[in-house]
Amino acid sequence: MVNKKLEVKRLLIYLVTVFAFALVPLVFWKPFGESRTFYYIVGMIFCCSPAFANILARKLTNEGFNDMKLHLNLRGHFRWYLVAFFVPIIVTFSGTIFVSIVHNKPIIAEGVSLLDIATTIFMLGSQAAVFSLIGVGEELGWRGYMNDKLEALFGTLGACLIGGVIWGFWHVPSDIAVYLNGFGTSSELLYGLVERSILPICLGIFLMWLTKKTNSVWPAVIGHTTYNESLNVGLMFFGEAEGRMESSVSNWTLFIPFVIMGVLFLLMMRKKTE
Amino acid sequence: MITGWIYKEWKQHKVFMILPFVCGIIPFICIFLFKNVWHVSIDVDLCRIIGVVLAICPTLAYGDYLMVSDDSKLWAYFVTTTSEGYRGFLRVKYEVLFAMIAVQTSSIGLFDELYINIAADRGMNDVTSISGLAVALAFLSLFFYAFGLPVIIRFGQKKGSLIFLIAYIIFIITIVVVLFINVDFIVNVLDDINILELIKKLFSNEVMAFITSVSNILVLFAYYVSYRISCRLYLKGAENYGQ
Repeated sequence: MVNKKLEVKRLLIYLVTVFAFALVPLVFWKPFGESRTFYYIVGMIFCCSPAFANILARKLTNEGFNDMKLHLNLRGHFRWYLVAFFVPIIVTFSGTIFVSIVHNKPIIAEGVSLLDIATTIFMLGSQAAVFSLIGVGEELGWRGYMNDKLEALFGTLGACLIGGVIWGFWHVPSDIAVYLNGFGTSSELLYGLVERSILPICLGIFLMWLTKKTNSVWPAVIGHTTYNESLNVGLMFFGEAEGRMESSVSNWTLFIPFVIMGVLFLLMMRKKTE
Repeated sequence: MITGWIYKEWKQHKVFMILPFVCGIIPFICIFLFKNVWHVSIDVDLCRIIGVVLAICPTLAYGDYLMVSDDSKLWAYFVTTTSEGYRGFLRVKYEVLFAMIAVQTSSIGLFDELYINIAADRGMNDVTSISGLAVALAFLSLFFYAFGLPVIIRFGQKKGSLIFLIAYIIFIITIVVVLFINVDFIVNVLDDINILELIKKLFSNEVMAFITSVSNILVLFAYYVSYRISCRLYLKGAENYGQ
């Protein structure tokens, strides 16, 4: 039996903490834009704040640290680690290919060979294995804590939708701080806001599915890191990075594979719950 | 919070397991020592590289002491009777070592990025990242452990480490000899049999990057195969433990 009052209390502590950290770049937007060191340190603290909020909420409400989901649980789950790596690559690459097709540009950018693409995929794989630890700062909080609380309160669908929106809007203060420092136009900021409300829901569903499947946050960490890296690489290989932030409808085709992925994994998760 | 065999590893090798988190600061310490304390006229980038090489030492030490106090015959029998068996015991050893290498690489990468940002704020915009070196060293370490760990598990800590060390030294000497051998001689020989062009073509940047990336994946696979081999060798090795 879930004690809803206690779960709400835990969730509130978690959310207040993460959003307090999220506001730091906005409050100190001036030094955020002037000093690269400040930008980097604040960025790192910002990325680790969900993990910190998880620990704080557990400590304050005497929840204990037994289900931190930090075990690798590799036994019998290795294939889900592979899924965590390959699905973001497939989705981001196909999204950027859609953008190239809509913009009537060659599918593979000029000067890029198939060998380059293969090399990058292997490099992403090796980096995901030894260099994705940074992503644990976010995943320990969002998938490792918040989603569990939301699922207990609102069910799987509610956890996916509300969790995705919260995760997306947590990024917004830093986006505004970047905009205030003169990077980008208001239409790019608006496009970013729409992107922040769609992509995190879809990606969040996939990462939640991985976490539930393995009872470990590590596949989600790999999935998240691979998504971050492969989106940049995909835009370089299959489209034009500078064309991405234009608020034109045709660029929204980037979202299509993400929405398909989100719906697919949501159905799989709900089927298992039923 | 920490349960199972990981708890045992944590209690036994706590220091080794904490050090990778902060090892990224070693390149900073190297710069400070070389430049401000010893006043050595050495390139800053070289200080950073020395720092990165030193930063991987805690993980190397853990790998070397992997079976310390675990290589006793009775302990091996006990491990086999536990619910996870010796496979679970060895899996945790491999996982912890891998996690330590990942933590070490990430730590070096994070602190290296911090250094680049500090340098940029001071007007030095041409500072290059050396986290690629950390990744390369991580895969090199995994490569060595993929071969070394089954030897340690088969022959026990004392004998296994010695065999591993001898093989390691032979490997280093071979590399050094190959590097310092008369390059002109190789070029002449290769030119005679017309292979030089082929090698030049093969090791052009694009191909080399591909080979490196594929090698990294193969190293990961070798590390997994090494675990499977260790599982097969453990009970055989247990008979020689403590001798």
